[in-house]
Amino acid sequence: MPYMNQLYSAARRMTGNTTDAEDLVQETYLRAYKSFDGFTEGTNLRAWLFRILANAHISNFRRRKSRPAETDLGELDGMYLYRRLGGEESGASLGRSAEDVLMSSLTSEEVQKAVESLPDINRVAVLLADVEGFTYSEIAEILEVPIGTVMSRIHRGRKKLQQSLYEFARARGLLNGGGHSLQPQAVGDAVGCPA
Amino acid sequence: MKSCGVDDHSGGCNGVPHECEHAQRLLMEATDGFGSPGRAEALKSELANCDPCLAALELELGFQQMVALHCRVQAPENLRIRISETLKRVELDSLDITDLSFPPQG
Repeated sequence: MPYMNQLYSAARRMTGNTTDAEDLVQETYLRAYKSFDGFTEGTNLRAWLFRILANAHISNFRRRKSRPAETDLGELDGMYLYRRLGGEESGASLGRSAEDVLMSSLTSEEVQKAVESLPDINRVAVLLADVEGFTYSEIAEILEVPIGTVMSRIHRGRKKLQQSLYEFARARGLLNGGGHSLQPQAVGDAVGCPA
Repeated sequence: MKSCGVDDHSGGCNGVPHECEHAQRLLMEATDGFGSPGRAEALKSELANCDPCLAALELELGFQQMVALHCRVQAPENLRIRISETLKRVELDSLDITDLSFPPQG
């Protein structure tokens, strides 16, 4: 059974618990064995398995109607982390050391909790891109959506994740000083560059 | 909203990438996986003229790596056994599963 660890990692974060993750991986392999005629030899087996996984997850999700398919994340700052850790707004007290603290001090539990709290469509896209390393065109095929939709889901998911984890770090007292606003700002706040 | 000139990125952004629409677009494209090897080189070359832009890019990529590190887990030992046994036990032909051709048709 190829790619089991990768499929299980994604399933664990998609479902939020071990029991449903194991069921989802099992369902994925059953569907794969059943549908193997639909796989074109020489194409991407890993992407095919993840497509089955994502389809099964979405089907289960809709059946349970446990969460809405789309959630408005509101306005998200395209430079959220940079503004707070490395940009001018961070002030002298943050910068490189704050970046190191954020990257090294967050626990797996905190990161996983933040990932799992993302809206489903953003979470799946971010997992496929950043954890599994699929390209945008592969993700577009896996999720059967246009590449522009993939980009938007990933970008917004990443920014929301950064915001959540930055707030975790602040709440734990890992990051002090700077006096930053935690309110997200729109990318459109950019004033442009001098000509 | 004005954008700084592509050929004068470092001067145009005044070292403040978050205030520069052009730098933001470049960084978004760079952190989104570069697209193609040729485009990747062009982006790196352009970003290399702007130290704060490179710092912002490193921050984004470092963040992605951290998330990936914390989200990778091993499948339980018994899962493979459980699935193998299920595959032996069930009649695949009787399962109601829709077609999953790949690459997607049409």
